[in-house]
Amino acid sequence: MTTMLRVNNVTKQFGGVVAASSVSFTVGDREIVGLIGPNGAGKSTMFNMCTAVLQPTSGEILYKQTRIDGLPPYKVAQLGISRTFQNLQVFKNMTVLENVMIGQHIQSKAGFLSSALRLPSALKEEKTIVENSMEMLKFVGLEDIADVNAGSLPLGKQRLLELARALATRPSLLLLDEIAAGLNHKETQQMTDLIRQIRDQGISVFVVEHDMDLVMTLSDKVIVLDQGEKIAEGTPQEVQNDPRVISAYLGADMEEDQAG
Amino acid sequence: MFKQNKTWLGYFAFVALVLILPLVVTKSYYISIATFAGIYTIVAVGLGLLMGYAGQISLGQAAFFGIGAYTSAVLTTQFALNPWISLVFAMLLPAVLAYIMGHTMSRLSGYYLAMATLALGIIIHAVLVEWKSVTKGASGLYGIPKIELFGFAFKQGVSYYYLTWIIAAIVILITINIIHSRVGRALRSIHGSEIAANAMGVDTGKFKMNVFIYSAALAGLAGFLFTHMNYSINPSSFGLDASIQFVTMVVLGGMTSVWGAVLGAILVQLIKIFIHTLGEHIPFVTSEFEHVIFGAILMAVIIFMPKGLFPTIASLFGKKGHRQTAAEEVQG
Amino acid sequence: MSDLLQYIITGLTTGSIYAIVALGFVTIYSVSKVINLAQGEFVMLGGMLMYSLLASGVPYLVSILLTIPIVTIMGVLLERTVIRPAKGADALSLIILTIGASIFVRGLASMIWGKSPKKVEPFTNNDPIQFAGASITPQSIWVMLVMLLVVAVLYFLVEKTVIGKGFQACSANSLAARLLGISPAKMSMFSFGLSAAIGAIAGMAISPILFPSYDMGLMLGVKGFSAAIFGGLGSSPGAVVGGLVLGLIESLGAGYISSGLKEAIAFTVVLIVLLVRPSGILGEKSVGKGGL
Repeated sequence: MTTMLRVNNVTKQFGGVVAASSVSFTVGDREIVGLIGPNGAGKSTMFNMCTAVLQPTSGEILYKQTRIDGLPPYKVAQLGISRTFQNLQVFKNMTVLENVMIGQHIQSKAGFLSSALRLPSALKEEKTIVENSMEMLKFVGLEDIADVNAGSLPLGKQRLLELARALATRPSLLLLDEIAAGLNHKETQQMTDLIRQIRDQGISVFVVEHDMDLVMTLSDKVIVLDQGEKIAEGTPQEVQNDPRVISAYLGADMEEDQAG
Repeated sequence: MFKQNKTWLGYFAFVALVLILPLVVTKSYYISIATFAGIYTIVAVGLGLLMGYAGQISLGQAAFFGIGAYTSAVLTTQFALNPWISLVFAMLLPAVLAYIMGHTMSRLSGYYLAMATLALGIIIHAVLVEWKSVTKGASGLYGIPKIELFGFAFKQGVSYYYLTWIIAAIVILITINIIHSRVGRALRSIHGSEIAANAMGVDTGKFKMNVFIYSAALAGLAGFLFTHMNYSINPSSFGLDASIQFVTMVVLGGMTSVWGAVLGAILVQLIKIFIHTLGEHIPFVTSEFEHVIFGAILMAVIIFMPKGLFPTIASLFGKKGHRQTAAEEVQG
Repeated sequence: MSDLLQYIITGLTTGSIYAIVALGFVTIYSVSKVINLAQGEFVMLGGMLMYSLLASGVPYLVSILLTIPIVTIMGVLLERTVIRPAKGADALSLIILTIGASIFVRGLASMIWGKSPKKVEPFTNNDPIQFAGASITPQSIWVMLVMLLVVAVLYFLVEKTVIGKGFQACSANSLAARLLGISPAKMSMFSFGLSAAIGAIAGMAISPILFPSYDMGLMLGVKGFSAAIFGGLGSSPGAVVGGLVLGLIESLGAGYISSGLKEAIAFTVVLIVLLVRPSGILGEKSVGKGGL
C-alpha cells in the first residue's frame, strides 16, 4: 500500500508551549484515518501543519514523495490535497455554484488575457467548470440551490458545500476538519455516507474530529493525540480499549467538569 | 446565465447614453467635463477592481496616471513619436513599475501597501517637478500633438469625447469580462475568504499583483488620453489630490462593481461642475471648497453606505427581492 | 563640516515634529487599530489657532493654554462623530475615512484662514546661536525640547496612570479589557484626544519656523505615518527614531542632492528599508502585518 501522507517526527512549539511533540503517522492510499483527542490535544495544530498553514518547528511532512511543510498552501492544493474548515470558510459573497467553481480553479487555466477577450477556449473551459461543479453539487445534494447566495445557507448545508468545493479540486487526499461539528444526527449520518463514497472513489481521507462516533464508525485507523503527544494508534476497537486513551478522555472530562 | 444577459442589457443602454449625450448637451464646457469623466472612468475602473476585488488600496494611483501622461507627452514632443506608438509605452511603463512594486507586495501587505503607494505618489510627483531636463519642471510640457487616425485629428471637443468614451467603453467591457471569468471568480474568492481561496489552490499573491498591474496600465492609458486632450500638461494634475480623488470616485460609486466606478467618476465631475457654478455666485465657495465636499462624501459614504452608491441603488431596484426569495427557498 | 552640522540641526528640528506626529499615530493605532491620516491636521490646527489667538491680542502663554484644549476637543469630536459610527469597518475603509476627515478639515481651514502661510512669533527671543560654524535658533531648541517633553509625558501617562493601563489593556486585547471593566470605546476616545493634544503642541512649536498654512496637514500626516511604519508600527521608541531619521534624511537629501527632491529621497529610503526589513527598524515581526 502506498503512503499518501507521512508525518515524520513532527514537533511544533508556540513559544514555550508544545502543541505537537515528535508525532509520526501515515495515511495510506484509499484509507480513512481519524485523528482524535480531547480539547487542547493539538489536533488543529497538526491539521494546520498537514495543510501547510502552519510550519512544524522540526520534523517533516510528506505527500507521496514531496515535502509539503514550508510550501505555500496554494501549492499544496495544486499537488492534490484539499481540505474543509472547522470554522466555515465558504465564500459568502458568491453563490453556491460559484463556490464550487472555485474548487475547479486548479483544473482550469484561463488567464487575464483570454478572460478579458472572451476567447473561445476560455468560454469552453467555463462550460466544463460549470458542468463539473454541478456534478459535485449533485453528489452532496445541493444542486437545487446552486444559484443561492452561499452566505445564507444554514450550517449543515455550508458543511456540505465545503465538502463539494474541496472535492471539485479533484484531490487524492482529502482533509476534513471537524466536518461533523454542529451537525444533527441525520446530517452526521449523511456526511458519514458521503465520506465512505468518497473513499470508494479512490480518495484517501484524513478526518480530525472532536466527536468520537463519526470517527469510530468510519475510520480504518485511528490516531489519538493528548497534549501534543501521540498516545495511541490502531483500529477503532484497539483504540477504544486502550487504557491510556480512556484515561486521557476521562481526565479531560473531569477537568472540564471542575472548570464548569 | 440570465445574470449575464442583464449585464449586457445594462452595458448597451450605457453605451447608447454615452453616444447620445453630445447631441443633447452642446456647450463645450460640459463636453470637456464629460470627456474628463471618461478619462477618469478608465482610472476608476482599474482602481475599483484593485480595491473591491483584490482588497488592496492604492493611494498613489495618480503616479501611474502621471507616468502615462508624461511618457506620451515626452515621446511625442521631444522624440516626435506617433501618439499611437507612445501609447504602448504610456501603458507599459506604469505596468512595469507596478510589477516591480507588486513583486514586493506580498511583503508590503496591509498598512504597508497604503504607505508604499502614498510614498510612490509623492516620489513620482516630485520627480515630475524636479526632472527639469525631461519634464520641464513645474511649468510643464506644451505643444503636445493631437491623436490622429486616418488623417483625422481628434481635437478637444466632441470628437475627443467620442474617442475617450469609446476607449472607456472597451475598458469597461474588458473589465466586466474579467470579473465574469475564472480570474474574476478567483479575485472574489480572495475577498470572500483569503485562507479558503489559498486552500483551493488560488495563488492569491499572483492575482493581487496582476490586478495591481492592470490598474496601473489603465491609469497609464487614461494619462495618455489626458495628455493628448490638452495642449500642455504640468505636474499639478498628478499629485496627492488627484490620487485621493480617484479613491473618492471608487468609494462613492461602490468598489464591488465596475458600474460603481463609472458612476463615481461621473458623479465627481458633476459635483465639480456644481461647485464651480456655485462659486460664481457665492464668494466663499473657492476651489478648496471641493475638499470640504469630497472629504464629507468620503466620510459619509464609509459611515452610512459602505458599499457605495451603485450597489445600494441596485439593491433598491428588485435585486434585493430576488435574493430574499432565494433565501426563503433554502429555509423552506 | 559646518554644512553637515547645519543639515543635522535642521533635520533634527523637522524630525522632532515628524516624531511627535508619529507618536500620535502610534497612540491611536495601538489603542484602536485605526490609522489616522488626519493626524497632521491637528498640527495644522495647533499652528493656525495659535496664530488667530495671538492676532486677536490674547497673551502668548494664554494662547498656548487655550489652543491645546480646543484641538483636544476636536480630536475627541473626530473620534465620536466619524470614527465611532464606522466601527466594524475594515482597515481599508478606516484609512479612507481618515483621509476624508483630513481633506475636510483642510478645506474648512482654507475657508477660515485663507491660503497664505501665517507668521507666528517664536516662543522666546530667536537670535541664532553660533557654534562650530553652524547656527541654531532658540526655537529649534524649543522644538526638540518639546519633543522630549512629549515623549516624557506620554511615557508617564502610559506607564504610570490608570488611563495608561487602560490603553495597554486595549492594545493587548480589547475583549479582555472589556471584561476587566475597561471600555475600549472610551479609551479610543482618550487616545484621539491625546493624539490631538500632542499634535497641537507640535503645531505651536513648529509654527515660528515653518509658517503654518491650511494645506500642511496631509503631508505631515503622511510623513508621520511613514515615520511610524519606518520605526515599526506600534512601537513608540520606533516612532521617535523613525521621525528623527526621516527628518535627517530629508535635510541631508535637500542639502547634498536637491531641495526639491528631499521628500522623494526620504520616501525612497523608507521604501527601500521596508523592503529589506518589512517590520521597520525597531518593530517586531508580527506588528502591523494585519489589516487590509
